[in-house]
Amino acid sequence: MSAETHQTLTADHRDGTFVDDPVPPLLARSLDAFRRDLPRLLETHYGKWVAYHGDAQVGFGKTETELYRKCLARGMKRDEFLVCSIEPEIPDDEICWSYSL
Amino acid sequence: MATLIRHLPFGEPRSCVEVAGRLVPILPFQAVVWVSIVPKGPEPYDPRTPRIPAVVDLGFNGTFAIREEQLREWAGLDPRLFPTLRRTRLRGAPTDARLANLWLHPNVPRTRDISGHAPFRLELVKGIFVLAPPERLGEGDHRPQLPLLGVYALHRANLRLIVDCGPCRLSILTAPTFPFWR
Repeated sequence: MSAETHQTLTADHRDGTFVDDPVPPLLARSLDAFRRDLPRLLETHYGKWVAYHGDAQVGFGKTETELYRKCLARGMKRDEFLVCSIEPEIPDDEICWSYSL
Repeated sequence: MATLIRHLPFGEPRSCVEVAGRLVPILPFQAVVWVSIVPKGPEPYDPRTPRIPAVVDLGFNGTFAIREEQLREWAGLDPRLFPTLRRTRLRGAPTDARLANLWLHPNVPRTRDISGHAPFRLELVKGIFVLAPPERLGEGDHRPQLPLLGVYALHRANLRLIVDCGPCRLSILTAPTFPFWR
């Protein structure tokens, strides 16, 4: 993201209101596709990273950064693709922390 | 094998760190590291990126969690810099999972101070949790007071966490290169 865009975004929110930006559609589709394929991927590519562009699987890699480089080189925008680690997901209702008030 | 965090003290009495011009209290037995939040991607570390404290929380099974207002006021970052992957609730708090990574800053051994050595990129699975304030006035705020660095972030980077509870020191190391050391 450019410095200009960053400045604009920051200026927009100086009033302290909270953000309600939508989930980019291609990102949502990418997550759905990853979850659809995850059971199979766990058997074939456990521990690797995988990239999705909507429903399409872009490829596998050893690191997330490697796949970002690949997707960006193909002209994809950062909110159009998803790079995920192939391992079981933690359900939201099982996410917790020990630090409290 | 490289040592990223070396003998970080965490047994001190209540103390403070300065973040964006304000003093933030640190409670006893909280191990606090310094991180920078950045968009995902291959870009190298930009030294102008703000650094914020985060508690290393062994009880947190996510990657990284931060209050939305801390992201804005402490890190100086608009949440929209980081695409929203999905919306959820964590412990009742409206939460956005946003695509972001961290740089973990090495410390001066035996202190909380940043050493100035090159930071380490943490690739966070599905990004970070940004926790919004309670929706209604008077509703309890159960969000953590400081940003949290979770075990999952360290796991995916294959890091080693050493907690020595006698002298109250914490270290974080990269994994050895040779498999027979593992």
